[in-house]
Amino acid sequence: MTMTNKRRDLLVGAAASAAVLACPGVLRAETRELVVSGPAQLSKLFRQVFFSRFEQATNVKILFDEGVSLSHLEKLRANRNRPISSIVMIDDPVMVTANNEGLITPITPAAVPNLSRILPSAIHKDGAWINYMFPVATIAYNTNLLPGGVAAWADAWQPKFKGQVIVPTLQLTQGVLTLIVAAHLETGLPFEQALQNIDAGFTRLKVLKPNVLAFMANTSQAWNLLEQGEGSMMLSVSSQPVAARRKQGVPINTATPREGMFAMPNAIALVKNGPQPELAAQFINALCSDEYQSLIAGNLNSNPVNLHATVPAGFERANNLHVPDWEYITAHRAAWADRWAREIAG
Amino acid sequence: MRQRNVDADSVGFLAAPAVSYMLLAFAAPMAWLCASSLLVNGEFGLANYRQYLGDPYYLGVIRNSLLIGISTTLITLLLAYPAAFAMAKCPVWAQSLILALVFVPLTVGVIVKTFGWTIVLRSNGVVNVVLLNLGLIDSPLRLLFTPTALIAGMSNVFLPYMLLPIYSVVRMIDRRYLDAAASLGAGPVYRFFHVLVPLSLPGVIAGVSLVFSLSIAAYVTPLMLVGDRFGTMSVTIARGFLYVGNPALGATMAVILLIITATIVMLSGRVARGRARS
Amino acid sequence: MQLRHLGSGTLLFVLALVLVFLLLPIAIVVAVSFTPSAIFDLPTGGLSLRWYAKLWEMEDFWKSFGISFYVAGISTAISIVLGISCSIAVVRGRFFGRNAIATFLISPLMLPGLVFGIALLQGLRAIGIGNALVSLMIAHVVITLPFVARSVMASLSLFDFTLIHAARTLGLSPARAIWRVMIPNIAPGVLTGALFAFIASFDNYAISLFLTDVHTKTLPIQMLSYLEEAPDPSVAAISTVLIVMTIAMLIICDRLVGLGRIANV
Repeated sequence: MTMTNKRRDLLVGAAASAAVLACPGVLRAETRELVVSGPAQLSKLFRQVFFSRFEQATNVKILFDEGVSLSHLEKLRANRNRPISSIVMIDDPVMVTANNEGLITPITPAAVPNLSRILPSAIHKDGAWINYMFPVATIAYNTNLLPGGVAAWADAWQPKFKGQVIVPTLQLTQGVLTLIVAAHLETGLPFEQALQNIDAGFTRLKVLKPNVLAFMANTSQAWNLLEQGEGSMMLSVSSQPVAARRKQGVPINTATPREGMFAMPNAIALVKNGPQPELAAQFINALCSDEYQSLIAGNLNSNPVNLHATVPAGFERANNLHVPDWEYITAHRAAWADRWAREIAG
Repeated sequence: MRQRNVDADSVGFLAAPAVSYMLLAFAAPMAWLCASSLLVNGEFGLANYRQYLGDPYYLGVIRNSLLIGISTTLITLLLAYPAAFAMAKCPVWAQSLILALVFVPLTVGVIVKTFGWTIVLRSNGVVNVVLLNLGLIDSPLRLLFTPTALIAGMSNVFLPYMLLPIYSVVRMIDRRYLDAAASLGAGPVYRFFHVLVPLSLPGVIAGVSLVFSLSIAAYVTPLMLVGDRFGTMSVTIARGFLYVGNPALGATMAVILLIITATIVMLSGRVARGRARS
Repeated sequence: MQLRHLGSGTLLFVLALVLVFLLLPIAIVVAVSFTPSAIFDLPTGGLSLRWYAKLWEMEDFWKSFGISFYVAGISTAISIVLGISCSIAVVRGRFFGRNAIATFLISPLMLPGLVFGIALLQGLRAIGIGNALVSLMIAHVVITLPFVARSVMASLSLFDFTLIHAARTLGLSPARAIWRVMIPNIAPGVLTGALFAFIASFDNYAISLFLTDVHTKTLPIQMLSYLEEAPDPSVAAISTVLIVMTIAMLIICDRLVGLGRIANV
């Protein structure tokens, strides 16, 4: 009998909470809300570092809708007529598509004065979207297996790493970086021109196949393989989560390969016709401010895009990060994905 | 008055709510999405099908998917069929316990399960350690991210969907049929193929159609267990719709997948009814 | 005892093998949940409850658990009503296309979930349905119905409909005849179908991915977020809690109807 009652209570409770959730307007009309769509892996950090700060300063409640860039894009498309989110944080190539489809609206210096304080290379298409930080995209490795670290991208091709290299697939935004590096190694051209010679990238990447443990589409599984030591290194990954994992005692680290490193494309934009546009602009302005940008280095293990921001002692600002031409990449992505499936994956 | 609610001629209308719901909530949006498979340069036609079915790469993808679907179905059938008979012979309390053990893995999501599966198959994983200790191999086998690992993982995920339907039929088989066959002089092999197999067939058909559908359509498991190494139709469909913005590719593949699976499921249903009649 | 000829020992051996095979990854996940390290791996050097302690700080987890439970419960209930009624028609009816209807009902299982997720998201927004909970419910009825329908059809095909005639001749009304004679007979099949359906909904990731929003997040989506944040053993602890809850639910089912009857998929 008690069982039945308990179950009924649980159901009633669930029903009640769901009813509240089904009509959020009823209860939430009083407090101002700002819905931000962004990457799941940054959810906790953003809440701790930025949202709480902004909420206190403005008496606004920020709701973070976490997900992957492509599901955010699908939702933006479907909710085009009545957007739920005011701000969207997705990768640059997905931003290119969102911008082409008219799903985002430009960030203006009038609404976001701090725009003038961030790097011009972080502002895209006259402010259609901006990069709010530049985590380094590089090689991560397992420190137990490779105590000496990894000196160069070229090392991944050494025969001794047979079956040990984890490579993100082209489905992931950073997957294309591996192709650029491979093209660079094959042709000797700098990254910028290497991108124009992607054929060479395919040629060189095919040679890597025996060393590849897996072409991974799921980042959490890829990190897990590296952490437990099934793979010894992972190419083209964001350095952003590494510092926090190291603090937890996980034996991984990022390399500084001599050929150079990339900027991960972490971008933010205003949703077109999104609710609370002033508030949204205010948040982006705060995110670009010296204060918030200073927090990026220490808390998110990434390079601020605002050069006026101070970085904590011990944090080495990575200069000369290569920012790939995402528009060019987006235009060629479908053709490359087809080639990748036929030539690399098989 | 006759019992209209259950009368054979007048119960058809009872299908209406479910069928209309499925038409509205499933078929209509799917048809809308898949319409692009017929659209080429603004004209309707089968050009997309000719293009993809004429391309050895996509034929390979279809073959891979069929391979996974068929192998997973066969392996789970080979394991589940004898296991179901063994279960049916157990005392009732043990049957309940085994049922619970079969059911529990279903509650662990496939993503978390693949994390566990990785630990089973990795180079210093459970399988390799056991094989090394038994002296069957000298150095660890490479198991992760191979088609073998994928099929093993899929069999693991979908085995309950084969075992439970077969068990539910097997335990209903009246042993008197076997006794009757034996008293008529039928040998064990004859009794197995002419009595047990036909009687257990409905369960087998149910399990086969369930596991085949689920395994050929699976997306997350292949993505995580074999990655890009082994292209499947579901991964290709996702690529078309999500990653490269080529809905024609996604839609064409989705329609082909649906046709293949529906044909096999309907055929197995026909076989079952054919057998039942004979 | 006739089955002895097939080799009892061999059969039991296969059964044991099957159970070990089925439970191996699950046992590993449970073991991982007790590791003191932050890596999702088997515990080495001691056990710890830190990942369980962390569960209590995860408010999102309990909230998403409630939403998943609610969505799975309601969609399963709707599927039971739709599924029983449709199954009677398919099993008992004599109209053309019954086989096609049966296949149509289970066709959502034949497609990768994310295709249907995208299709439904576009369809719902096109007709102006934007509520995440409603969208989830509509989608989850589609994915739970195949399991209920499949299982109820199997039970009904074994049911002897002449029993209802018999009950009628004993003076029961058609509705009462069905309630008193047919429903108890197919109850185990309904329950099995419902269990599978509930799990299919509770575990669904590919479809929910597109339909959840910031207010309404289901458990698998929430767990994926945890994994994306850090691939640490907290998801193993969550899974272990789910396993314990499932066992509790199965014990309740056993007390109510007897587990032995729950297998008519």
